[in-house]
Amino acid sequence: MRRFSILRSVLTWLFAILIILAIAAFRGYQQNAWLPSLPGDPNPIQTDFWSYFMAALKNPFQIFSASQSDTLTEIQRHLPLSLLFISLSFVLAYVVGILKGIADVFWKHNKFYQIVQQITWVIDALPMFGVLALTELGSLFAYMYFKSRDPIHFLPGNNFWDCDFLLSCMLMFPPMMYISRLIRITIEQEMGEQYVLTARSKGLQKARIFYRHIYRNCLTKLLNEATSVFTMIMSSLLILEYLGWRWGGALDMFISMGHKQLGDSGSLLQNPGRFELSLVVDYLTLFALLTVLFQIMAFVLKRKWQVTQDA
Amino acid sequence: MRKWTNPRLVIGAILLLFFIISGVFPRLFTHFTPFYKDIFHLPNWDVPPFPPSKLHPFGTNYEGRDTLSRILYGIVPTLRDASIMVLVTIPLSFAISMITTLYKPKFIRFILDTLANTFNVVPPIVVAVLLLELPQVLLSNNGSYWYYGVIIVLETARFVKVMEGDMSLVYNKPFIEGAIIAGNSSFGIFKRHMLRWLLPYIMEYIPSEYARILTIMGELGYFGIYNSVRAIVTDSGIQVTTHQLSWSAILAEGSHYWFGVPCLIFFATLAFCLLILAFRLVAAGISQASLIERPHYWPSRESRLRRARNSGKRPVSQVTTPSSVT
Repeated sequence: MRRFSILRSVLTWLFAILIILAIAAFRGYQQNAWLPSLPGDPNPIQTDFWSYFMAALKNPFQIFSASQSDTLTEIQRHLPLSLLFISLSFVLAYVVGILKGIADVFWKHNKFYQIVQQITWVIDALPMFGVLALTELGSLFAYMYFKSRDPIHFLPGNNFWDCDFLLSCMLMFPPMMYISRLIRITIEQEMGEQYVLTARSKGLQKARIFYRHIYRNCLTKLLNEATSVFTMIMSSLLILEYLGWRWGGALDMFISMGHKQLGDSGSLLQNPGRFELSLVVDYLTLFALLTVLFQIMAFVLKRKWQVTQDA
Repeated sequence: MRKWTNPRLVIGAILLLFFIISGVFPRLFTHFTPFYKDIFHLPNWDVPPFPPSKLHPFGTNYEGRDTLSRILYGIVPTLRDASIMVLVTIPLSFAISMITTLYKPKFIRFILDTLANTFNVVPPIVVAVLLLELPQVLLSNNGSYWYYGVIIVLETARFVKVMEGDMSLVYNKPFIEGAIIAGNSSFGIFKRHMLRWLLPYIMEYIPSEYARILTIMGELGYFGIYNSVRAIVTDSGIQVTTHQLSWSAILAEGSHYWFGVPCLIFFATLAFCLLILAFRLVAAGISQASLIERPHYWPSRESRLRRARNSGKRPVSQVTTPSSVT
């Protein structure tokens, strides 16, 4: 029965990837068929949808072939930056989220911390594009007003800390708040358990009960949320790279769809480029595989942890 | 009644009311129309874009159109688009999740799982961009319907899962089991017992869904996608002409002139953020007001001491730890 359910999940995933590839192939076919009708296109392409679809299906398997060397080079150049954002924000989301969740429980009567909580709530309530654009243009105006009226400086800057790290912090914010809420609720629930109340009534110290029992019980529940955290990070990656001026894998995929970078003569309509099917399909497959791999890893870890706990 | 006047709900409602009043009566705050072009300032021979000044508090774009007027006149179209999508998404998601919770049909479950997986493997915004930039959609006369349709499908696929979770929570309560044993029909149980439990959730869903849809509209705006783009293909290329006043159109225009006219994108983004924040505040306020209060398991030191004083016993922290506990 279990094997059958795993097989069904795998089939559903494959079906989902197939749908995405079909959408990409249809878009590529339509866009590249439309471009020759525009004035000034040097080499029009004459082909049909099925050849696009078959190419989309074959492409991921031919990524290491000689004909795909340009695509592979392009991916190798841009994907590491996306992976850096994903991994850094994932780790930060868990570490900061756990600390904030604990602080939310034990410092809830502290006036200063209540202000911090309100500020973090407001930042979480704002959309990612708002946080990015307001930071970027706000820092631009601030530099122009307070410094040398030089409009070149703005955040994100040029080095690791005020660029990649800052952007990773922005990317980790929604999952971090999610983790902290989860930790807070779990700790509060655990505190109401009979064994904790008994230990407390017998005079055991708060810290001792917390670190020996409550904290460990909470951590097991966090493993269930690894997939949600990953999905949250992935859903904001494109807008982060686009508005943060960082040419990672997600932005490269977007540019392969015929777009230009931000501020560079606009939308697809005004300045359409060719849809590079191989690059788009390879990126889509890579992101999909990354998600699936991550889910399998989270599933295995969860099972292993449960076994250890039961033992 | 007191819990309905919590700070988040009050601040959110005031912000929202301010937006609605300024959207309905924009002339209270500006005397320019959104289409008026201020093309030349004689005293210093300036041409647009003009920076923020007393005449144009938020500056102008390259054509000399006042940004403040465009933002104020854009409130109603933005809320109109969001309202259309919310009014379809919530009842649709509600109906689907009701059917899946009560009757558990396999076919709808399969479609929902496939959709959810599709938007899990790649970000939903990528799927939206792939679909909404198809030439047939971009150049279609029914572009608005496509825009609404794609966002509604994306949002419904996500939202049904959330609603199903909440409905299952209510459906698994003991009194529902009692109603099933008593022989009530599934729909009867839903109408009589579940609906009133779901009302607080629905009240919270509406503003949260507004915030979600406004966020998607904003993101798509940066990529140059908004409601009813009009394109004309000429010998010299494609000209985009739009008289759309929604904020997504301002973001789409502003993203072309990121450093040329930074005020345009800055103030449009700020307006978007404030409106989303207002909806989120209202949602959080409603959630806070409709929450069943839980007791604090570990009371603060002051209340513990007070209680101990009143009962004439020593507080817990002063009791010595017996060795048997450790």
